Amino acid sequence: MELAYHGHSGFSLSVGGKAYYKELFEPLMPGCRLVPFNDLPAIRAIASKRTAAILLEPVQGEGGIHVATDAYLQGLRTLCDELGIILIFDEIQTGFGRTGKIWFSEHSGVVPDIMCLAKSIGGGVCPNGAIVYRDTEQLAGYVNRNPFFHTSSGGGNDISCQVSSKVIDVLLERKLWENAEMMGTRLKEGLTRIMENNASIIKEIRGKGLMIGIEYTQEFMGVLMADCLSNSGIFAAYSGNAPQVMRFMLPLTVTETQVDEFLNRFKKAVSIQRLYLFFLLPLSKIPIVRKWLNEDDILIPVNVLLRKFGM
Amino acid sequence: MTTMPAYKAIQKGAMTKELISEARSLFSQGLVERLSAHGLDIVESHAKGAYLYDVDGNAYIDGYSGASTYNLGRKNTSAVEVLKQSARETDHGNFVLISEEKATLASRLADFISGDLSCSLFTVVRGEAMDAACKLARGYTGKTELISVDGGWYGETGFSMGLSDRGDKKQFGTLIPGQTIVEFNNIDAAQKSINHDTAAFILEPVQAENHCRKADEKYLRELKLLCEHFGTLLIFDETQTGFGRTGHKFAKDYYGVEPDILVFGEAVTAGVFPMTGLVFTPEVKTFFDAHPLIHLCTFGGHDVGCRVACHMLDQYDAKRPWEQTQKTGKRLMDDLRSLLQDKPEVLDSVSGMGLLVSMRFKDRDVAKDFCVAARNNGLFVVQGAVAKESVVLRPPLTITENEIDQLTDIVKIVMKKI
Repeated sequence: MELAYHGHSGFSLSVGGKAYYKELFEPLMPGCRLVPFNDLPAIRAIASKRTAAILLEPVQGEGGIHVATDAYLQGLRTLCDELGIILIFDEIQTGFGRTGKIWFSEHSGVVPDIMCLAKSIGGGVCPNGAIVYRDTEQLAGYVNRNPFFHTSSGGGNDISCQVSSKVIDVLLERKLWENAEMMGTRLKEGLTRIMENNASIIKEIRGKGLMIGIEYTQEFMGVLMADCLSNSGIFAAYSGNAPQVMRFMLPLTVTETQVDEFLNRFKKAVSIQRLYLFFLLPLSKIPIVRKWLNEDDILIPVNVLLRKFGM
Repeated sequence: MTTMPAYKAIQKGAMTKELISEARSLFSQGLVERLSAHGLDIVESHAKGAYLYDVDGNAYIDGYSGASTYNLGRKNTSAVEVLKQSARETDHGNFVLISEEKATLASRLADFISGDLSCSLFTVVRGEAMDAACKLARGYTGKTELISVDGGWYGETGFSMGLSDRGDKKQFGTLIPGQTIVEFNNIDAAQKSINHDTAAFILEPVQAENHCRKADEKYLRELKLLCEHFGTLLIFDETQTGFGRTGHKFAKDYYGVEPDILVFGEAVTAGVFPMTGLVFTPEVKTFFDAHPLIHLCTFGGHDVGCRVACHMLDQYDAKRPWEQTQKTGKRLMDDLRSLLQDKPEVLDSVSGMGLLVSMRFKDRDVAKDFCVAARNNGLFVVQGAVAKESVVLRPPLTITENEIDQLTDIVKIVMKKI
C-alpha cells in the first residue's frame, strides 16, 4: 500500500511506502506494487491470479493513522478468495488490544490468511515476533512440506516465549482492550475539544482505540509540535511516512487521571505552538518559505534559533 | 566447576514423546518428522556449561551452541543475574532515542574489536544485520551491485537470502536484483566480477554451514586490494566465527585483513539475549551522518540486551576464551582426524578452525544417520545448512579438555554405528 510501513529488511522494505527509506538502496524486490489505501477499485485493477499476496496494516501507523474501512477489508477478502490470493494483515502495531479489540481484524470480522505480530508481543521486555496462519492445506501444507523454510536463532527463543505467554495472560486477565477502547474514546474526545479551539493548527483527530493520530494543518507542524510537547513533558513521535501527523500510542494500562493529565499537557503544548506560529504562519503563506519549513534540515535550525530567543 | 555428567546412552522418555506429539498439531507434522529423522527430536529442559538436559533428564553435550552463540557456556550464571537485574531496572527503551545503554555498548564494542571498526548499528537477527550491511554499502558507495561467494549462508531476510547458497530460494520469487555469486577462494573469479558499480563483496571468512571451508589468506588479502581499487566495501559476516569461536577474537584477526563492515551475531550476548549487529569504519558511518534514522529496528539496541552484551564483553575480556579454544579446538580436530583412517568409506574429511569443526561424510544420508546416532548417545549436533553431507561440531568455548575427550569418545561410538 502507499504510505505502508512494514520494516527495513529486504522483503519488508520492498513493500514499504516511503521513498526516503528505499530510494538509496534500490533495486529492491521486483514484483511488489503499491496502491492507494482504502481504494478497492485501485487494487481490483491490478490484482490477478498471479498475485501471491495482498499485504496491509489495517491501521496504517507510520503512514499517518489511516483506518481501513470495514467495506474495504471485506472487499479485499472477497477479491483474495476469488483469485486465490493470500491476505496478509500486518498487526504489529494494531495487535494485542491496541485498537479496542484484541486484533483489529475483529472490528470488521475479516479473517486474514496470515497475520504478522511483533513489538507488544514482547511486553517491552524481550524481543519477539511471529506469524500466525490459517490451518489451510495451502498454507499449513506448505509449512508441513517445508518445515525449515524459515529459521531464526533468536526467533522463538525460550525466554521471549515465556515472556510473550505472560503478555497474553495479562492481556486476557485484565481485558486490556476494553480499557484501550474506553481511554481511547476519552482521549479522542478531549483532543477533539482542543481541536475545535485551535482549527488553525489541528486539522483532524482520527484512529481507533489507543491508536490515535492528530493531523496538523501543515507538514512542518509535526516536528514543531514534537518539540513543544517535549517541553511540556510528553514524548511523541510524528509519523515517519507523514510528518504532519503525530501518533499517540499510550500504554493500554493508562488510567483516566493519566489521560486527563496528558490532555492538560497537550493543551499547554498547543499554546506554546501558537506562539511559534505567530511568526511562522504568516511566513508559511509564501510558497517558497513553506517548502523550506517542510524540510527537516531547515526546520530544525529554525527551531533551535527560536528557542534561543526564549521561546 | 560443575561435574561432568557421565556418558549414558539416551532413553527416549515419556515427556519428550508427549511434547513432540503435541508439536505435530501446533507446528507441523512435517517438522516433527524432519526433526526425528535428523536426530533433532530433543526437548530441552535446562542447560549448564557444555551440556543440555532434556525433559526426561537425559544429558547431551551441546555440540550446536545455538549455532555458535553460546560461546561462554549454557546458562552462564552471572549473565542470568545481569539479565534479571536489567529487566527489573529497565525495558527495551525507545528505538528512536539514544540511551546510555546503547552508547555504552557501542563504545565497548569499539574497544573490543580491533582496528578501525568503531561505529555500530544494532539489530536482532542475523539476516537483518546482513540486510542493513548491504543497504549501508549501497547507500555509502552509491553503487548497486553486491557480490558474494558460493557456499555462503547469511540468514533468511531479503538481501541475505539472495546472497546465500540456498537451493530452494527460487520458490520465493525474484529476490533483490544486482546480487551475484562467484566461486569462493578464486581471486580470478572475484576479479572478473568486481567493477566500478560493485557496492560490496560479502563473505564469511570461514563458511560454517559449508563444511567449515576456510578462506585462503592470500585470497582475502588480494580481495581486500581489489575492493580498495574499485571503491567496493568488503563485508565479513562473522556471525559464527566471531567472539573467539575460531581461536581468535574474530577470524579477521587471524587473517590480518580488515573489512569495512563486520556483521556480528548473537555471540555478542553469548546467546543470552537476541541481539546481532554490525560494526563499520567512521568513513562508512558518514552515510548515516547524512541519512539518520534510515534503518530502524524496534528491538535493535534493546536496553536490556545492551546491558547483557556489555557484561558479556567484560567476560570475554576476562576469560579470553579464544586462547583456550586454540588448544581445545586443536585437540578436537586432531582426534577427529585420527578417525579418518578408520572408516574412509564413510568419513571423507575433517576441517575447520578453533571450535568450529566439520566432519564431511560420504553423503547427506550418512551425515543424517550420524546426527541420529549422536543424539541417541548424548551428543546434540546439526548438519551444515549448505553442505548437508557435513556435520558441524561447535560446542561452547568454555568446554574443558576432559569434556572434549568425552565428546570425541561419543563420536567414536557413533562412528561404529553408522
